[in-house]
Amino acid sequence: MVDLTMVLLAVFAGIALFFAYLAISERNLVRALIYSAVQSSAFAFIFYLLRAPDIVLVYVPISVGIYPAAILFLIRKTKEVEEP
Amino acid sequence: MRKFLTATAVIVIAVLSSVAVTVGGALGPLFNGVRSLAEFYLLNVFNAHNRTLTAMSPEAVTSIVWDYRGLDTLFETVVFYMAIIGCVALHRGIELTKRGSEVGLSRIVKTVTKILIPLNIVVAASIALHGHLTPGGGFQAGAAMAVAPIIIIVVFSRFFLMKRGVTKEVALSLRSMGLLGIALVALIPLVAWVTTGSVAYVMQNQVKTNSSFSFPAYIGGSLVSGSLIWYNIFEFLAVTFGFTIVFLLLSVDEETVRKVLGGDKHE
Amino acid sequence: MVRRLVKAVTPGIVAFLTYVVFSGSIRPYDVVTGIIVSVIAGIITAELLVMSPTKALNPIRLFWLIVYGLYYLIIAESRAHFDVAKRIINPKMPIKPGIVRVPFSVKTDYAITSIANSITNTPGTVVVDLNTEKQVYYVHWIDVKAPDPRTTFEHISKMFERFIKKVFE
Repeated sequence: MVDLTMVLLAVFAGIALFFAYLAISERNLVRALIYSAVQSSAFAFIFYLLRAPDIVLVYVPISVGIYPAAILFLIRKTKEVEEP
Repeated sequence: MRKFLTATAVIVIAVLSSVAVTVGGALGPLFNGVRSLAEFYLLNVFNAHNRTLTAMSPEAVTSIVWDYRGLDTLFETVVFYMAIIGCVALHRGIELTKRGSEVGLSRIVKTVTKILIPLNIVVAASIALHGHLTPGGGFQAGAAMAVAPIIIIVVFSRFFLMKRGVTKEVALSLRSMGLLGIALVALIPLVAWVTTGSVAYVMQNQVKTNSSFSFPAYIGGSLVSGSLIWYNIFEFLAVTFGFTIVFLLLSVDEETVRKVLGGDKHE
Repeated sequence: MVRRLVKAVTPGIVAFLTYVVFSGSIRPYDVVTGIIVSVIAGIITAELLVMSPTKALNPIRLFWLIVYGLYYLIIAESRAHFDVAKRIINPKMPIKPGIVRVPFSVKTDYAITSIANSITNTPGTVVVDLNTEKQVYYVHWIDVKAPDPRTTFEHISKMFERFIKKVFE
């Protein structure tokens, strides 16, 4: 059962998990956003490996373009650093 | 301590969910091969011999999205536009001024962005216009196209975009044209019903057993898959300008928004 | 309007080529839709992208662009890669990093951007910022030979500027 797809899936899922943790624990919201965008990009690769090219085509512009831009605009409207 | 707790929580959730999926079978048994439902669609999406069940498109996903499950997609689109209308309604009364400082980022970034804009347009248009042939479609293309106004707003400024004609009103009317187009394509079969008296269904694409209406599957020898290409084009238009409106509104600075929406102090 | 259409030729051709390459096929459907889309894209971006249409369609400039591309990819890039690789392998790590001013004497946006990107793309040098009034780039250099403008120009951007001037100025 161990083929290259499974291994790559595990690798990208691991990357996504690591960056999800970084995004949660980071106090600076802009940095947290960048970690979160990296996590979404890893998800895009996972969708590609799961053979869903339609989802990949919508996930790439959303995860690296629209989502970070929207959140950046929202961060600009509040404060950059999360208060404890 | 906080970091340790977060890390533990993340790891525990990851391990539990992977155990649930692999050993516990939370997603059902792993199935290698083609399910009978998938087999039906794969057999019928592009099947000239079985015209009453086909969508005349080799792209199974787009066929399901805009033909077999067309009404679902219609309502999904409506939900998306309700969100955009909500955003517009929240920003009511805020005037988007056309003039302001156009400082933006450095000249190098601006030049590179300028070069990327036409490429972004054609790539998005290609995704939309090949939505019925290869993976892609209206929403995907709209999301790809919406990146262009966003990077223009970030790299140049909102005023750069608005001076060249992409104002909130223009974007709103183009978005409405897209939605209107989708509605018209969905209702065209009814024109056949009125004029010829034969049975026709809303969002019908190809002929059905008791209905002779059909969108042309080929135009000039090229496969256009009946209504699918029109849905994709109009959805492309609507999604692009829907996102553009939201980003034009979000780029208004917070002080102006507060001045309008803040209201009076509560006693 | 006619002027705008002439200006739209170059971006339109580039857009059409991108469309065909991205679509991955060249049947009548792709050609027809590609022409429609690239005409629209070309007209939208013409004023933004093209200042003088004759310059953009000049074959001599195109020839120099190809020559520059070959020079850049084969000679400049490999020289810079070897230089940085040597510094990495050398156990003493002979680096002397610093940010220096590099002057430039070109005027157009494209020329400024091409030189800046040429500098950034070669390993060892990165353009950090630029000042168009003083006509200098601020470049981070891995091995600062000397901070004066003439030395930095000589070492970093002299050849790039010579070619870029033929292409864009």
